[in-house]
Amino acid sequence: MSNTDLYKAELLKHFKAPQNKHQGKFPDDMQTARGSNPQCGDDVEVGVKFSKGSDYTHISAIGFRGRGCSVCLAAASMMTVAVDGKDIAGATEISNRIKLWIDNALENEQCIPEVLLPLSAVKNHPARKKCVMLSFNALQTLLDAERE
Amino acid sequence: MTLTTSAKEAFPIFSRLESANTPFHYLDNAATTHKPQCVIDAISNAYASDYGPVARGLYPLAESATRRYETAREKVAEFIGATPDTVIFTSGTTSSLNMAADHGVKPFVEPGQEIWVGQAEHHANYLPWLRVCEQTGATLKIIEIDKEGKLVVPSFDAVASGQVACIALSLVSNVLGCYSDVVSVIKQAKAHGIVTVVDAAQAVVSKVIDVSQIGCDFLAFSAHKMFGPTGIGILYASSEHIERMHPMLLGGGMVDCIGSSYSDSSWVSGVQGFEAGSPNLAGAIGLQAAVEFIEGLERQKLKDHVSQLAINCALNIRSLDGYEVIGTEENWRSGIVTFVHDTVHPHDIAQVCADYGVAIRAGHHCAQPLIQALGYVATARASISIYNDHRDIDALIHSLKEAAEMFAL
Repeated sequence: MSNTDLYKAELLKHFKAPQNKHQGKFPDDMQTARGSNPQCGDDVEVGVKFSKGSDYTHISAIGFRGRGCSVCLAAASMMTVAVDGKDIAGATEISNRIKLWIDNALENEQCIPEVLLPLSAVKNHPARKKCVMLSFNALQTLLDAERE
Repeated sequence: MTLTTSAKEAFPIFSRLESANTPFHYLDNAATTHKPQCVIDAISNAYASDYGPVARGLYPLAESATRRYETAREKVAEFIGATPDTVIFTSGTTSSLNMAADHGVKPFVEPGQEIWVGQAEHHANYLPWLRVCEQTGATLKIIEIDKEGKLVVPSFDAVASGQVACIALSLVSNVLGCYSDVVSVIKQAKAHGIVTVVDAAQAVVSKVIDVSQIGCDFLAFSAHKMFGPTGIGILYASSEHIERMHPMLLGGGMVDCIGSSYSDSSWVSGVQGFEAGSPNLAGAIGLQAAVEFIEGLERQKLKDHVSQLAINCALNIRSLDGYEVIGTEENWRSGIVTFVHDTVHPHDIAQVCADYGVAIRAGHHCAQPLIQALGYVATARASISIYNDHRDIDALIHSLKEAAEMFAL
């Protein structure tokens, strides 16, 4: 394996053995949103099942499917792990933080979930930031819709 | 000393960036080429010794700046077999093609007419025509290419008088590298009164361009793909079109007389009427230096070198498991080798190449209609120039093997 910084072992692990990856269509009880980048053909769909509790609504199931580069697919896998089980406010917080973090605009890296930290390698590769954000943008669309 | 070594020595970026620990294998020449010292010096001297307002002042420096600018125009005109009064300086191919589309062709397009463009066009020679069609009620027709990248030109026998307003084609595809025989198309188009536009951006560095032989009405290229500076290119427009084309930019330097309304105003005649604003003197001088650099090369030998290297590159890639090279040996001769892997995304390929100091391009190469027609979402592209040698290809092949291994599922 190359000693490249970008493809750290965790990134490759999530690329080769992604978590929560769906092969077919999402079940009807999942809300879906897509993120795509025509520049490179990356196209990811995120599916989320929201469950309403007495106090808050949380993500009770999440998955993704689609095609993309290793960074795009690994980020989608990591994202699903990071927000699974979170309530809307918690998942939104993670999504907002990752946007700042990837742009080097977040002062405290400690508030980034550990599973997402391998994505830090992308921060020095501006052209790949879109790859990371595709699945997070799709998630954000779903969270915004659910909040309304 | 090999041919390539001597060519490479003219480009200071290589000695500055290359070292034993940090290799630099630049194979993205279809995007932009590096600059030889003579071009860098010409630009630097233009600012250090010759800089002044062009076509504006009455003092010696202004007059000499104007002379330098017009001398550059003469040199570039000679380079493409044109006369200086048909060569408009622009900011590059994109600007040139937009000018031709919006101001050279659109004012004369009638609703219901057709505009033909090639299937392999760069967005810069596609989108302006798409917009012209939307704005005029014309229809955009795509001239498809066959498996070898050759244009499948419809028979002109079936073309009625006035049916087609314009045909816009590239000489060399920036993705496939294929050379289009536009001369025969243009000859037939002319017989039908059709305006013809040629995008020579990718061709100008490898082909000898002679507009009198090509016979087109418009031709565009940029300096930066032929060892010249960014921010300057040319639009050749035949004398007939210089006469009737509308100015794209309005402003200083192109006004003859301001009237009480726009339509009462008049513009200076000739190419200066299309160069509103302060001309890019250093850019023009840099372009002239690039032309002189190219003319000083052993062009055929270097062309053969680029072709052979590209063919070797393509055949080496093709021999690797999982890799597919698009196009034919004839296409690769222009120095462009586009390829994909069965499972590894082009961005991942390009990233691994970058880690080994190999610069290639990945994506749709600003030619989405072509990439879609070929059935891909993205591809990787290595493009070769006169300063490349077998070590660059070896480094690329090594990187491609690593990429395939790293991302094997």
